[in-house]
Amino acid sequence: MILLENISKIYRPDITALKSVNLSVEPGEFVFLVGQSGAGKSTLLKLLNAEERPTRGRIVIGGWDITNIRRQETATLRRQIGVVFQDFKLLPKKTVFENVAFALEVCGEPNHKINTIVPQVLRIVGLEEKMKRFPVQLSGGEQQRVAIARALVHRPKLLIADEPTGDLDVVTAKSIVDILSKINEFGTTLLVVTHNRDIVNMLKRRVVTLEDGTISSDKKTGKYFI
Amino acid sequence: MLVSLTRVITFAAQNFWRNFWLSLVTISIIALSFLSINIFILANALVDNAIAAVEQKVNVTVNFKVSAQEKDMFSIRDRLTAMPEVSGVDYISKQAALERFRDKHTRENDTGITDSLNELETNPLNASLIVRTHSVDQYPAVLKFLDQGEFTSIIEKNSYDDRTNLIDKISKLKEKIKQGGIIINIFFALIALLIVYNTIKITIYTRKDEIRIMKLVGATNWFIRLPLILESVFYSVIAITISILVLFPMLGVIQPYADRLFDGQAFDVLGFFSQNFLTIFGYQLLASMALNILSSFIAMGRYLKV
Ligand SMILES: Nc1ncnc2c1ncn2[C@@H]1O[C@H](COP(=O)(O)OP(=O)(O)O)[C@@H](O)[C@H]1O
Ligand SMILES: [Mg+2]
Repeated sequence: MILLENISKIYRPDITALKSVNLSVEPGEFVFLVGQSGAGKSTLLKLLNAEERPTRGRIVIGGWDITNIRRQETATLRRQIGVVFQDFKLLPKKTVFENVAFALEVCGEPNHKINTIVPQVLRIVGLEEKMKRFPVQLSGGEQQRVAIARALVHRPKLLIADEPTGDLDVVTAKSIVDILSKINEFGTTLLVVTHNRDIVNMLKRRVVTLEDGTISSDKKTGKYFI
Repeated sequence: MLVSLTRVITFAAQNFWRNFWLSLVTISIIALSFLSINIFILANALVDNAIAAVEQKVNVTVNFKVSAQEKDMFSIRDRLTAMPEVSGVDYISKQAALERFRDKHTRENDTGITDSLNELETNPLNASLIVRTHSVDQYPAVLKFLDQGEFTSIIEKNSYDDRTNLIDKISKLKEKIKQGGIIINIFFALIALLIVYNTIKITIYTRKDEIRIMKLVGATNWFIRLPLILESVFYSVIAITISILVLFPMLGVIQPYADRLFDGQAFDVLGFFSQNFLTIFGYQLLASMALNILSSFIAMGRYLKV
């Protein structure tokens, strides 16, 4: 599903975020990406949805070599990937419903489909009561759940999430992880950046550790250790 | 296709309402530009009218010698009338000239002069032609025609020389006003253009984060552009409506001043805008929509590069 070959990302001559990273993720896998702040986790995710371009190396996603993807093609790529951004990136002038619906609208889905799916997904993340609110009227955790709902509403084959449980209390975090597990069971490949030791240890999935821009460990049923 | 179209319209309308204050400020600035452009158009029209009024007062009087035969005078009149530059020729016979003279002085109760006229046995006044052209700069053609040698025996020499100087001055002044007007017009249009472009640029700038987010969620450039472009078209339509609603009551206030500007020859400012309504406002609307579409398109460019 994901193939990174010898990937380096140099933002500026003095800032090397990733150094010769090699990573392969099979379809249907559930991978945690852990590491200290500044290790390059977000950078790695940004390469996957073409928000950033690699300085060196090759990236293939679902058989599509996106290393030198053209600007006009990024929309097609991004519609097939669900992304939970670290800073949520909700549209401030759209309601919760409209924010989630937007991911379907860009795919050209018809309204009747949007009107049935979006409330369902919002019910899953526990926000069906707040559909008509605007992002500013929500708490950080609620905004994060909207971001998650938007990332999975169009049933992407690959879902990447940058600290999706960061702002959530233990109970909500657990429920989010349950949702992610369920999505994974339905066949979506997951790459999740997290700092949550408990969740990593509980799920017993593959854990990739980044350290200073390189992969320092890659365990099949890993434990969180830093 | 239909789905996308309704989405574009919905998004544009939502953007418009949910950024109400921003929309209002943008519209106000565009409406103000429209208003100043229309007042400028009015000023242009008033200047044109003033020039036309002056031009109408200009004419060339050709005095015939006493010895001139009527058939020769008529022949000159007819040849002048046939000239494309000439808009009208009045023939004033000796008799008519005398009557005019009498009338004038009787009205002024200048009995001394009329009495002395009565004592004269013959009519001392000359017959003449009053020649008018469509525009002042066409007088030289008339004068050239009159200066031909063939008329020296019937036309009083230098009868129109004192006028040529004045006509020349008016003609030059008119040319200067026209040239100055073009420069001011271009300058003014440029300022309006820059103001509107920058206003649109700011409204797009305030949306730069949203544009970026939409791109990251998988929206194509056109999916983002079209609602924003349509919104800028809303701005034009609403702004021109507001400017018309403000302009027309203003014209009522301006009319008395315009009347005072040209004594007698009134310029109907309201009529000017009503009769040319579609031309004036139609072109402004089209130009403004084109400008807004282009401005938002250009302003968006860099934020779409995500
Ligand atoms: N846009 C950018 N420009 C310059 N440097 C950046 C940029 N984004 C991230 N970095 C730098 O790259 C390194 C890795 O950042 P990041 O991938 O965000 O780490 P993490 O998500 O693991 O905390 C950091 O040193 C960070 O300062
Ligand atoms: Mg990060």
